[in-house]
Amino acid sequence: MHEFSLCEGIVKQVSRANAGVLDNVSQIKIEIGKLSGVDLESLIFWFPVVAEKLACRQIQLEVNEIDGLALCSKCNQQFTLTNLYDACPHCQSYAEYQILQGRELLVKSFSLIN
Amino acid sequence: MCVTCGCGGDNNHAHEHSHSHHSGDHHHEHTHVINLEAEILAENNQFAAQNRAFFKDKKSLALNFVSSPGSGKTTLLEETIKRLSGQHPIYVVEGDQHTELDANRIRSAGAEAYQIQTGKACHLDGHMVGHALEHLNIVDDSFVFIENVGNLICPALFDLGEQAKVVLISITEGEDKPLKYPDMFFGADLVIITKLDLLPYLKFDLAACEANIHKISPRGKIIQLSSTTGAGFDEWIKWLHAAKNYLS
Repeated sequence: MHEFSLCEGIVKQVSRANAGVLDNVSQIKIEIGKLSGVDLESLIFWFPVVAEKLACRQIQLEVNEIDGLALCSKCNQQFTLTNLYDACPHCQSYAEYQILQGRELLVKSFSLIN
Repeated sequence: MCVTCGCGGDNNHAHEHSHSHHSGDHHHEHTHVINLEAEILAENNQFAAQNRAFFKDKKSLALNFVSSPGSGKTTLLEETIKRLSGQHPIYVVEGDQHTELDANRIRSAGAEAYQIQTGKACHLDGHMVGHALEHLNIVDDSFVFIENVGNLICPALFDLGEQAKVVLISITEGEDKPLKYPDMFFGADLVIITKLDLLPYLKFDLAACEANIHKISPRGKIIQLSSTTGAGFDEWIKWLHAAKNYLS
């Protein structure tokens, strides 16, 4: 249910960058990391509801999902991290890693109709 | 100067022109793309930063308590208030979907409390907590305990401006909870395993629970306690004083 708040955050960030105007916004591109704690299906479900509420119109949402990538501090190798509780596949140590990507929650860009 | 939105500079702008042709009609659509690179949670993070600056200014320690509903957050706070009373002022921000019940329990235990009723919202955010702080007369050198809405999912994403996050798990919940809700345990500065007095009546594997927590947070501190018997409270109170010295 926190995805509703995130949808509000997406629209508000665009509004702020566009001098409070949402009438001419046709599309918003976002980046969501797979380890960010966001349920993408729920976010996509709520977005039209929030767009209608805040912008009184529909805005197309384009989502780029980012895979989790970690660097193991024990064996110094990179690996794809699917779950926060996964062990390093190279040395089997748990949670001894630095997350390089996959925690993103970003509004990348938005499109305006001329 | 961009003629469409009036912003300065052209270096972060890309222009896309798409042309479509349908049965002889000529549509000429222009869209104008503006790069933003903004955090979705930017607004919340700004409120959280203001709260954090407030706590620093007050030389006070603010903790965000998160857990499932019914894991014993309010009871832990009641017992903690009784043990800390007379040492430092204590303030509690209570978050629940409805009712003032928890704030009343905290007031009876001897601390000033403000209840946030979130209505339909499933978590506290930086903005709500900022307004709650306006209702408390927080003096220097205090403890500020923020009891989040009982929910192991949503509160994980929202920084409230606390200096440390304390996650509670009661032994009636099962030792696999940390793996089922990893986002919450990932950000924990301290995990407290509660209701230890019920251990003889349950099939709960304490060692497995701790191992699961350490899979997500390898150096995370864990304290086992019972608010009913007082077991583990010496360690918890010691942690609180140390955290206050280091973090506030």
